[in-house]
Amino acid sequence: MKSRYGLMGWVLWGALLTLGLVGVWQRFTYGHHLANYGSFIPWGLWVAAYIYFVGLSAGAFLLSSLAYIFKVKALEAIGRLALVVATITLFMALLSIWFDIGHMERFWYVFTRPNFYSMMAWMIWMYTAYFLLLLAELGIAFWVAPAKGERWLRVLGVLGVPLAIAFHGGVGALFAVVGARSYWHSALFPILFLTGALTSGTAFLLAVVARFWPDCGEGRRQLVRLLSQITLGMILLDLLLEWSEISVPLWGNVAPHVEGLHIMLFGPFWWVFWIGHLLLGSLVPIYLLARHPDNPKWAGLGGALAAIFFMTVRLNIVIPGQVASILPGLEGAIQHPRLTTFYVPSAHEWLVLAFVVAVGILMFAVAKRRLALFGSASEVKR
Amino acid sequence: MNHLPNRREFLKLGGAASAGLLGSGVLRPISALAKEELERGPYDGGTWIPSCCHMCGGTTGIMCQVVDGRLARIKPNDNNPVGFSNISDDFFANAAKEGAVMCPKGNAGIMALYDPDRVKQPLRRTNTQKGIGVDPHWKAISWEEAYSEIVSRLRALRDGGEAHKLEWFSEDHCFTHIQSDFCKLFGTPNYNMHSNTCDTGRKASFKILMGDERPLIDAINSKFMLIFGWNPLSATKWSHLPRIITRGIERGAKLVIVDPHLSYTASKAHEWVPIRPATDGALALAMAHVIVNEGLQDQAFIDEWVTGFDQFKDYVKDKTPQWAEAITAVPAERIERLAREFATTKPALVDVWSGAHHTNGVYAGWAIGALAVITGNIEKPGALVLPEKKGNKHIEVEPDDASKQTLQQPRFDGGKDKWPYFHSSGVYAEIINRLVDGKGPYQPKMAMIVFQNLLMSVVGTKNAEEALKKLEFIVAVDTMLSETAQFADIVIPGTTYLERYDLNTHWVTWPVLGLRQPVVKPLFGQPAEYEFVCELGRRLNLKEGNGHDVFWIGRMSGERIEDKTRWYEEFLSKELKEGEPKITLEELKALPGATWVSAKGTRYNKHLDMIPPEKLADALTEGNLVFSKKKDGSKDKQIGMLRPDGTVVRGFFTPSGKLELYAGKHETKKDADGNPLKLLPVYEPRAWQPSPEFPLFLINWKEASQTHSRTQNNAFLAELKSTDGLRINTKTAAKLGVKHGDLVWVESPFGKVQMKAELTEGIHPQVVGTQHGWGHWAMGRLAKGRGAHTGFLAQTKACPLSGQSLNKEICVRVYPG
Amino acid sequence: MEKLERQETLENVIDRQLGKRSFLKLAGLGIFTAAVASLPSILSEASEETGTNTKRKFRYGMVIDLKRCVNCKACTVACKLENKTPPGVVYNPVIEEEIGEFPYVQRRWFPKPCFHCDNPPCTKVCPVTATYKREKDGIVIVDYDACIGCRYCITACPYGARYFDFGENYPAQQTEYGRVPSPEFHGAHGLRREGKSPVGNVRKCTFCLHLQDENGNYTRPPACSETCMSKAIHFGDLASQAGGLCVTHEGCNLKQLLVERKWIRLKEELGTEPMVYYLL
Repeated sequence: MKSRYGLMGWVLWGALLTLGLVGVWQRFTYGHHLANYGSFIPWGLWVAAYIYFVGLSAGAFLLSSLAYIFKVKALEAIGRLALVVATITLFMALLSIWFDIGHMERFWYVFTRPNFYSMMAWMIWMYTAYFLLLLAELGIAFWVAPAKGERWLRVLGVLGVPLAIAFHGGVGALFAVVGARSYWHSALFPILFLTGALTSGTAFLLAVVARFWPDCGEGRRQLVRLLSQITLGMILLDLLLEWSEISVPLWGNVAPHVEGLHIMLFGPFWWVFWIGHLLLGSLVPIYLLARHPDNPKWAGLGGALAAIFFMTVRLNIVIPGQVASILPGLEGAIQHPRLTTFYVPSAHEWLVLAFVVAVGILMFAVAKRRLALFGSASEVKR
Repeated sequence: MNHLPNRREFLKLGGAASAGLLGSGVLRPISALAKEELERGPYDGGTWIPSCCHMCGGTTGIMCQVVDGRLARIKPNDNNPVGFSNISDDFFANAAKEGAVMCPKGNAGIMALYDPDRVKQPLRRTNTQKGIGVDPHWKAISWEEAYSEIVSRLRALRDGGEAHKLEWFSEDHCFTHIQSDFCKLFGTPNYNMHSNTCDTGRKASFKILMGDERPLIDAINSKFMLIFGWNPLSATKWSHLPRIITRGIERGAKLVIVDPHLSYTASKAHEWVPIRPATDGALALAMAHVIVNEGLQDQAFIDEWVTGFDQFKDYVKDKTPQWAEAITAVPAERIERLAREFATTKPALVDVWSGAHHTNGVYAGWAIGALAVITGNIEKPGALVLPEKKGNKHIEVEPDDASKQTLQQPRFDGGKDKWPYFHSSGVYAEIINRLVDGKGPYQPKMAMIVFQNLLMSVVGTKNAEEALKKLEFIVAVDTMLSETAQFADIVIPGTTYLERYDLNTHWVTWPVLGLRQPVVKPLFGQPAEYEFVCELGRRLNLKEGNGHDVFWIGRMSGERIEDKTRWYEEFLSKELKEGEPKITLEELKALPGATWVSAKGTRYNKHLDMIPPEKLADALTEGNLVFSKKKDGSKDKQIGMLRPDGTVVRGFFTPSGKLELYAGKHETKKDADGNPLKLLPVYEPRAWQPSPEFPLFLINWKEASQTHSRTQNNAFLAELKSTDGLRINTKTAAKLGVKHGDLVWVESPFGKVQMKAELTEGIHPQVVGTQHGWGHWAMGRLAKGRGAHTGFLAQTKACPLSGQSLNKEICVRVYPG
Repeated sequence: MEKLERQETLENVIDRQLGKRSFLKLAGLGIFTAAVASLPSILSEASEETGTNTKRKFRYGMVIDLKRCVNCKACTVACKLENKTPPGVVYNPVIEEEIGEFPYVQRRWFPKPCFHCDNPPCTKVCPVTATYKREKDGIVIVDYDACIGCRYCITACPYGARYFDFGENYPAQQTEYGRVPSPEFHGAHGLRREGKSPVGNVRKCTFCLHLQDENGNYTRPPACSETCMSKAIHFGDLASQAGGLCVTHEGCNLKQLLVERKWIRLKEELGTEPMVYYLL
């Protein structure tokens, strides 16, 4: 039974990877030709995927580090898992954004010709530091000192928490500092990015724990319940902040601040918000998590929905912000498919994303097989 | 200049510095700056060759940069007035200081030259079927094969005494002389060119009024510009139009545009007067009514220079603003106010161009011109000015006897006998109709179509299709495989204006001649059109009546010249020498901007010019008119008039020598439909009026980004606008249940096309319209399949006075598609 | 589009162009970024202090007379021809809108080059300092050899002046046109090559930098200005003590125009200080 599912899973994964490889081949052969973003909507699916994955990473990391710092025993058990998840999703994020840039071979310029004024430069430097920190933590947790790891991990966690906050808040700031886009230009943005990271990261961990954690009775139930409660709390907090972010400008309903909101809420892709984010990504998970907090199946489903559909939040940050604030009349001044505010990701963009996801899955599968992901170090030792 | 380390120094510095320092805010700009300064060298290499544009017929002066035999850039030519000003004072004083200008099409010339969809070699059709959408199955053939086939066809016609059964269609403003020479020597009277789809209606209006075909506006000196049915800031045939008009406004002129559509010019105007199509004549007459009624006319000028004022005054007596309001939809008070403003602001100008493409067009143009006449705004600074068009001289050839025989055949379109204001460009619409119905004096067998796209430029596309099918053999010479070229039996690759010669003498008010010259060699090694014609002449062994071997003998050297380019250079040289400039081609090339500019400059009040005694001595007098004599002593052209005081002045070349508000000569004449000509500029409703079934007027217009139907495959221009929808008033659309961007059917009794609705407030509610030229189904990858061609909706009809194609007389219904 | 309409004195105009500007204008930074942002701000301030006189030599800009502009779009095409920009990369489009109701209706338009803002938001965001405002003349350019193609600057420009080069070509690229050099391409006036810069870079109007740098005298107008059918685009040095002489049309004094006529700059409220003025 299990192996049949496993086999099917691998077949699906193979298909995903194959499609993804086609996308990567296209990317290297045709450059940006096959992508649908343009000069009015310069950032598309890949940028949204990037902030999505990077959010997962920061969220998972923050959760486990906070657990170490505040000695939440019940959560320490997922420390290693969280580290691995944070590393893999960060890698996926970097892969996504690497495919996005115009000159992939020049990514390292950000170190040799830095601009201290650029939030993007700071973000890259910080996630480089964060990546190194993750590697260090991974090394300690799995190889160097698996037995006494917790103390080290706590020390690194203390270092890592401000870094993760700064770096993911920085991702939010990267958008927020753009005064040209009123929709992004909000002081709440860095905060929203952090709570969003915690929401999606926790939800993702919940889903992973619920699905893959070895069934050893009460321990897993407790873990699932705790994660369910945190996820539920974060979703609610997130919604609160979101309400604030949306309702305040809408109350006055004066351009340019509401332009992007109108596009998100009532534009041609209204369903991304109402159905994707609000219904499937928030209300259904809230119900499941509140109703079945310790049922791995339902809570896990709730976590998975919240985590996966968080992508809609990321898309709704990136795209409407660009559609709004275009000078009236600029669209249509020149007749070219790249000079339009209508954006739907092309098949090519989805294929490349499929590649990123396939790589992530592979990394997780390898980690799961090779590393002791589940249980705290002490548990493993026992 | 700044003193920053150069690249090498900087690299040394950089090597020593840490990465952090390297990129700090302090040093940041230095690296890139030094580098970029080193890497950018001079950009103006190569050769700059002066020439004249031919993206449209405007012939604006251009400068072409050629690097390694490739065209690199095109810039305005400051030494050619066409592209700066049509008034000499302005040109001499300001051109060097301000620099000339160019329109978007001129700037996009490089894309026309290097269009990959150009015809590259002679093609023969292998599919005997012809029709719209029928694939000709082109087969590339050799030049020899192409020539021998064409020549054998031509020879068969000529040898069979049927030379007149060759119809020749040509673009104007390029190599027309050699083509008409060829036709004459070959023996066909049927040489036609583009003008009758353009402005022969306007030409007729002004011919009646002032005996001159093409007065020009002196916008820069004007204080009031009243323009009917013309969009000069967008239909920028001569690139100087926007400059002189906006400069006129800057100097205090008021601009009023009468147009059913809010064109860019109308937007720029102080007043847009949305009018019901084809009622301009009524508006002009009502304005004349107000002016005459209130005594605002220039009586002194009228007394001296106008005939028929009393009849005119009598005629407009009941043409009240209220009368016009009901016809034009322009409020009566507005008509009164505009009339007063126009009549009391001096100098003022009034003009009309292609707004006259309807059955009342010629009379309307006459009525509009009458406004200038009664206010004395003729031949004055800031008014309508007669251009002094002196340039190269067309050296007439003398056909041989065989040709004379067939030249005596009537023109297929009826010519002068049929059209009272026939223009030498012919009547395309009539040719098409007669080809279809077979009711002409004979049935042409062969057509030579040079750079003309009849299917898209003559209204009534289905008719044009039928007509082309009736021809036994068609040769198309074109740079593109246009819709019309798809009907050809043989296609000859043409040249763009950047690959050939021409002499250009039009469009400013004083004598100026600009040279168009090859700036690059023809891309595919093809002969320029004049060389192609010359080759045909040589192969047909066409000679003048006296045996002169005109296609072989150089006109300057008198020697036999093998090289056809050199032969043509002498052809042009002779025209220059014999013409006004009196210089050779080489001398013209050496002039600044390869432009000969007469120092005489713009002259006003030319009707007051005294005729010099030596000319008078050799002249004929008839009544009060003075004519020059032909060689045989017979009457030639009108050159002047005898005034009551005994002096002889130029006057106007009308039967009275004056401006005519009453055309006495019309008394005995009939138009092409057999109706007597009107003696006054009457308003009559145009023939095709909206009906309950087809309630909307359909009009079309030009924009600066395209020329007619021929530039739609230009990649630069396609980016500015790649198609056009049907502009429709928002309220009208609401009634029809049509939303912005909806596909709609536009249907007339002659056909229907599908278009995208473009809702606007800027069009009269009873009118829908679109930019002309879209809807290609051939031509090239960019042009094909964009927008709709409204020619399918029209009847093939020409103005019965002038032979002008009635491009804008269409009524339609619109419904959601 | 919000436009501020105002009439200023000559002094104000000059002051504004020459005046020193605080770079600490970024509002709305989260607490996370404040610490980060302060460091370069201090650096910039310092460099401003030391180099004010020698560096701020010229401030090139445009004064576009909308009374003259006729929406012919010759500027748009002249720019394409001069710089050989590929499809979809348009440095100077003409923006148009219709206002009013029949028969009281107007179409309004204006050409929109890069504004070469005195306080450009686009250069600040570049992670690799590939785009910057030239100290000596205020022209904002992109170093194609450094740009990584992240397109952050496109999002940061409030005016849509930046375009990404997707590597697309006109059909004519396959003909001899493909061998016609562009002044912009890597290596003095090079040819366009697949996958090589500026393909994959962000591109923008440079006031025809190659013409300006040619002899360092700024005596040649950018292509748009030169070809302009109604001579509406004046180009010149707005910081010149001589009064901002216009290089386009000899004898035309830019500062005089700004005093005599009403003008606006777009989205003035953002504090970007555009160097392109529109005369109304």
